[in-house]
Amino acid sequence: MSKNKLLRISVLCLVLLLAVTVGVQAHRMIVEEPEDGQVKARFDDGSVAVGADVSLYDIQDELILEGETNEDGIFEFEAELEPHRVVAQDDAGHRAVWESGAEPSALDALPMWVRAALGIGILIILGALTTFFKSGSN
Amino acid sequence: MHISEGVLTAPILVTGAVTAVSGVAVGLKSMKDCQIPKVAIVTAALFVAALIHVPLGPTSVHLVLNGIAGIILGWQVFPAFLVALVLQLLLFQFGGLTVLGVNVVLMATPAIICYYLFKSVFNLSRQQDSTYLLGGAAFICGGLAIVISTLIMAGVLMLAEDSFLQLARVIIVSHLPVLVIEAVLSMLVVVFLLRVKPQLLEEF
Repeated sequence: MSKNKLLRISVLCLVLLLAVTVGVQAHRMIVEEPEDGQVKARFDDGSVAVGADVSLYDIQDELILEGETNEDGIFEFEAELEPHRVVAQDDAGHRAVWESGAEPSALDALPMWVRAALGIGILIILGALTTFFKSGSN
Repeated sequence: MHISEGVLTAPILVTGAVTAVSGVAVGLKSMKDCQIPKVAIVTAALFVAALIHVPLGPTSVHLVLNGIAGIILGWQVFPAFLVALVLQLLLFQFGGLTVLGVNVVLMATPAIICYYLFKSVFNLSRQQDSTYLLGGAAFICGGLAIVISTLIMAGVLMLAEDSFLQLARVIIVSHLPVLVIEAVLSMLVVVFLLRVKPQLLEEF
């Protein structure tokens, strides 16, 4: 088999591998709004945060309960507690906070591909402007 | 592989920020005008790489591409990661503002190590047909960058609270698929560049 053919087959295999495994979302931990004595910690690729440490705080920011999420990413507590703030954190450095009354980011309403395209657009503009001003100054 | 806001203590954040600023300054100082488009393209790849993630049991891990970025950019990988991580923070709420320096160091330092490793192999192999040798070096660099990143991450998190060995094991095991994919990807990119645009790799 020629080197070129081997290279083409390798690239094709990698593209297929990525096509199978690729998602289109980032990997950020999110704590959902507590409901009926349950709070769920998940990642925004749809997977759940298993074994994450969860802390519940009241309106005076006093710790009222601590525990871990189960295999479904859910932490259960007594519904009467009504936490004002919930913090979840795992061993891999992910951390998320839910706070009663906090407004979600306006960017969250945009689809992920729009935000990715926006980022690449910003990079192209940055690169073009830097090249333009550098060449002008020379 | 991003550490979130609120996980680390102030001394670690300050150390990370100072190290990142130093790395970015070196990167910007050594950047020539003709290298700006190359840095911009690699930055775009680093920015998008975080969206490519590999399912792993109940969770998933994403690509980093720091090995191949280091091979192509050298010290310019610091400003490239800074810009990519700022955009990821603004657009995807990945990581955090105070932890930005630590995240830049976490991803760019292994890239620099891989740069020097690949550079030494490249200089050794100038006299012969070296496609296989450089492809192998890129394969090792692609995987090594992930291993070093996970070790730095475990070390940084250990300083915050937990034990190093337990964290390192968890993080390395969870990044094994990424390690393999990045090693193969780095090898293919280097072999491809050697055939299509070898000038990109001849600046060592």
